[in-house]
Amino acid sequence: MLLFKDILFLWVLKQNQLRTINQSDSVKTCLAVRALHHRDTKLGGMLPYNTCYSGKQTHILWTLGGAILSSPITDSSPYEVRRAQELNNLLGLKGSTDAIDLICDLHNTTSNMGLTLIHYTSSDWVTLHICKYLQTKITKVPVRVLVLDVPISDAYSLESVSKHGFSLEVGPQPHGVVRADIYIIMKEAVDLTIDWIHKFNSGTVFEGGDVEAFKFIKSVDYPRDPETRTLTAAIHPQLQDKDFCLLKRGDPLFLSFSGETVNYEEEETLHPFFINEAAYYEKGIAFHLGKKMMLTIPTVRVQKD
Amino acid sequence: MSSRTNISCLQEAKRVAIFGGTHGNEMSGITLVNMWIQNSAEIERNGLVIKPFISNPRAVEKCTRYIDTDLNRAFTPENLSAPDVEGLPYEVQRAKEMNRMFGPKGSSDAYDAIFDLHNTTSNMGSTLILESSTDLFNLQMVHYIKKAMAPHTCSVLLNEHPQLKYSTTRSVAKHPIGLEVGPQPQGVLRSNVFEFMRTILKHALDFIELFNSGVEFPPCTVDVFRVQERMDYPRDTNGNITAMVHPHLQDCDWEPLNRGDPMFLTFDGRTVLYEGANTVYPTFINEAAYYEKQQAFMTTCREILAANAIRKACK
Repeated sequence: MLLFKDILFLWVLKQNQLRTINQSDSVKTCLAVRALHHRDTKLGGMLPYNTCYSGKQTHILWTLGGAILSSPITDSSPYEVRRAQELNNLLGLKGSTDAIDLICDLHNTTSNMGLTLIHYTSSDWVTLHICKYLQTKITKVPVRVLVLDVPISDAYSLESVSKHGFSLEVGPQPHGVVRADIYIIMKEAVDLTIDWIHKFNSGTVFEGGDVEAFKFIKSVDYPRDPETRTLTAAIHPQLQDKDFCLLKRGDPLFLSFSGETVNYEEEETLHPFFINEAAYYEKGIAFHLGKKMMLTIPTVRVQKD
Repeated sequence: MSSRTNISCLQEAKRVAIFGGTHGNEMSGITLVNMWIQNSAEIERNGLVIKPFISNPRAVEKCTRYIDTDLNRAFTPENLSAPDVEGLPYEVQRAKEMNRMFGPKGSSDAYDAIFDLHNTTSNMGSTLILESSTDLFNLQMVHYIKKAMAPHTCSVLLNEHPQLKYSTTRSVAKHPIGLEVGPQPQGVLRSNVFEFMRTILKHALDFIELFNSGVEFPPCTVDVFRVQERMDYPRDTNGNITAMVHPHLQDCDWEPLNRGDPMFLTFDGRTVLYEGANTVYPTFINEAAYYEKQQAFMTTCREILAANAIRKACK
């Protein structure tokens, strides 16, 4: 595999909070979205759940699909569409040989997901090896791998611009808050990722093996009033904070405001995650469901010129 | 031996309002008030006019704390007496409108009681916020609520500080009560937090109904936490924070903070210790909305307030 030369870690400047990481020569850091005021950032902003999702509030993560990347920019183009094209020019072009080698996109979630590494595909052995490395080294929190199984050409988020990419999602943390425990976990994950890359570039052989992962299956919305679309229930207390648990038929999902429990009715045992993420109310998502699987990755080593 | 002369006779509380959405991303109050606007059966009480009300509908629509300025700081005398001109910040307009509907603040026409429903990202549990140590009606009410909610703890925060007290939405009423339940992220509805807030309101309205029916409430004491000081994050010369709430302090609202205890952890790994001479009880630790208000947490001291017996005044 080719030497990693250009690796990018992205973070968001929110209000006046700037997270720094130890940088080495081959690692660049980049501001994904400059928010002048915390309420301006669309990365945490959301529409109320009782209105339809509007194209006017565009989430940068959802704008890096092909059509948006090639659409002409006008005065009325949403900020994040403009920014998506700028980032594609800076870091891509998406799909080309000029794109940088790796993007690691740093995220937080209000869900109790510990450290979750999110990938588009199950066939990028580089990022899966990084996951395996993180899983063996990090013991403070559960480290899980999530695979979306979407072809890169259809992928719409930032880390799909580079040749290899994945997101680090750490939670639970409210929007607008820096928690020391969450920060420390993310910093450790970033440091270990850089560590792996240096070792890889220096010729270390990374043995293959199995990586346990969760594959995205589908999303589940909140129960809503059919006319007003307002919520009629909240995540059930027995499901709240139980990301990646085993969900079986008959297990509680929601507790309605009138006191009824809505249960999981399907036969297939699945694993919920992104349970009660603030930003997903506007997307009609109470949680996602995934299937546990084993991915087998080969032994890898850097290609010598 | 009870002395008949120590009973305070207070005016009946006929008009009560419940505000949700003073901050448009604090979901428990918004959800409760919208539910009660649709169906008020749960909040109806004999002889009481109860109005559930969304304070900041534009902020609720955008699921953001405020549009132009914090509504819960906007009920100042200057704002309330500002002339109706174009270009007034949305929340100042709203404050004037609400003052007309539920006030005027300080007058005998004002609503008797207003409950203002809030959430916090801090681990404050269920907190009742008072603005006066001498409001006997409110002291007796929080005493009643605390007893009714037991063994679930309700902490009482008293903000009577001359500089740190602020002009809240609820301050329009004769008896303002803040309900603050956390931890809950902005934009999120947690079932347990929602149900705690709902139950507190139920007990509060029960108290008012009992009081109005002539029940006498005996003398009582209330343990409160009195606001002392605002503590900001360490910042650099550009105003950026250079440290986070220390892991040992994070989530420890209402627990004693002693001299020498860790307070902040800098991004480069250094611990900043609390240097105050006296033990304090921190609260609002790491509230998301307070980064812009230069507040990492607030210090409080413990106090016991005494309240006379109260009874509805005879006409």
